[in-house]
Amino acid sequence: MHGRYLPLDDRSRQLRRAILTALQSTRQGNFVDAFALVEVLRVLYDDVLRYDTHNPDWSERDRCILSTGQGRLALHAVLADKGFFPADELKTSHAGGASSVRKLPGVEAACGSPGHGLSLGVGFALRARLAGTASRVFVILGEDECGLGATWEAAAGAARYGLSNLVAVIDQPRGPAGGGSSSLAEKWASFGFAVREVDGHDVHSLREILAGAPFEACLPGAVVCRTVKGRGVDFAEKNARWHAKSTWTDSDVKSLFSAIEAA
Amino acid sequence: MRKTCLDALVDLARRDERVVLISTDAGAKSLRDFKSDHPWRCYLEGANEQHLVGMAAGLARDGCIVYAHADALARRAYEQIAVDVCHAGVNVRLVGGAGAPAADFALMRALPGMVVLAPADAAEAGRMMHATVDWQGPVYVRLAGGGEPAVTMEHDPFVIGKAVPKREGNDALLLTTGTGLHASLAAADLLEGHGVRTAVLHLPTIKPLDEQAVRSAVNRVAAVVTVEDHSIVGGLGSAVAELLAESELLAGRRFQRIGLPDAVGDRHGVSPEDVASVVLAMLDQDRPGSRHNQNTRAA
Repeated sequence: MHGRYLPLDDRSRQLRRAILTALQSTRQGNFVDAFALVEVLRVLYDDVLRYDTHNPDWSERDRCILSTGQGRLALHAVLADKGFFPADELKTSHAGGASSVRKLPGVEAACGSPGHGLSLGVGFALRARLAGTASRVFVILGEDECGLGATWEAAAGAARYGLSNLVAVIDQPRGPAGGGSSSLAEKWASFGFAVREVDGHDVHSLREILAGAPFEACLPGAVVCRTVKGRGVDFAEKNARWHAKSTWTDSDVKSLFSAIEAA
Repeated sequence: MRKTCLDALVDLARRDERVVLISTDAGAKSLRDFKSDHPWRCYLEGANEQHLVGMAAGLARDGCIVYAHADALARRAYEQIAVDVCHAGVNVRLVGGAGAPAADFALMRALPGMVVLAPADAAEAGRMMHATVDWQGPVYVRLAGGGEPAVTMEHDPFVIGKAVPKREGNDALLLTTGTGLHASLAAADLLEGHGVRTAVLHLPTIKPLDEQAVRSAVNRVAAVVTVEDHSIVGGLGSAVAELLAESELLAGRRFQRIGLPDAVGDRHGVSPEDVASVVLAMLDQDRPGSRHNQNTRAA
């Protein structure tokens, strides 16, 4: 049933159900990018980041910026699960729309427009240095953002300032065709980052790597996560038609719910 | 103007530890000195304006007041300014140049919550830097190229959102901003020689516009002209036109924008002679037997 991938555990299923519930209510967006990021985000918020849901602006918190807007439903599902805001918020339209720092507590930056996240992350990391806190900053970047000049301007800056408290987490989907190349890892290394590569759905390995940040003194980190769009829905993992879908019937959503129970 | 402004910023930063400076001008000695004293509060960047603005927005999220200085900010980093600075409502002060064609007022005015400032001379630029420290939200300051004659007085106040009356007169009114003030004062002198008493109201804050001061100055005259070193599209002239139209203050008055024409590559400054001849033509139209039948759109 689950083909070549590890089965999902209860936590991964639960968060996927929350994402589908949001999709069912708002009928906006797509789940495949969110499903690709569930394990990365749950590991960050369950095991790695230091934060206080009752005081989202706590100045010594670790920060997670979701720069790629496409998987935002996964972030919102995790934040609601952690108690930053009531789960019912996921059923309102802005849960599926652009992340807003003003609307949803716990969201660190407006995402959606690509190529902004790493520069903001550099600013956060510099601020932590200036304040003398041990705050770490994780910036989740989409593969497409690694083709944008602004991302590499920021990467050069992060390396120049030796920001070991900054980690770029790159979502590199394998896609229905499979594959994925190591060239992204080489690029980040060539910019002076301490690079790690990991299966983006392997909770154990993700935990080990992400919790180990900072990786090396004076070097910013990069974690290239090989992910699968739509992970957990076997027919969507293999079929790009589901990736472009943006309208959802009740029967579509029902088939998605059934699929994750079997994954 | 740039040197005075950077020196004022360094002075601010030395006195207020919330202030962080980012600049593409590594040549300024005061900045280099400050950086060697406070390496985590001063960043000398290359021409990477998009990153510079995003980084400034990140730094400003937890109580820092960040001055980001780069010549071409308004156009090169527009999206970062809109999303990372304005949407987040952070205390970033963007200190930039006009670019060519000069359209920075138009670009910055269109952003929600952005304050748009244009000093007339170096001294006013320095006063502006101090006035922006405790403002809540983003601010854009346009610096001029350098070598501007001093036209403001030491005792001229600078308050964000307040107009500065520079000259009284009941025949015509020049509304101006930035380096347009120098041309406007010289034009008013020329007009005086023609018997036209010309008021000059300096608007160093383009947004939010001092609407009350503009309305009350306009009410006293028959001819109103805006003078700015900016495209006639979207700058001070447009802001004033919007206000006058919506306040129904245009009836019985002549109104003309003077700035840079809406054309590529045709950039020369606004001269006092241009301004004076436009005002004379406007007033001449009101007289019986006038030779003019339409306004001259100068410079």
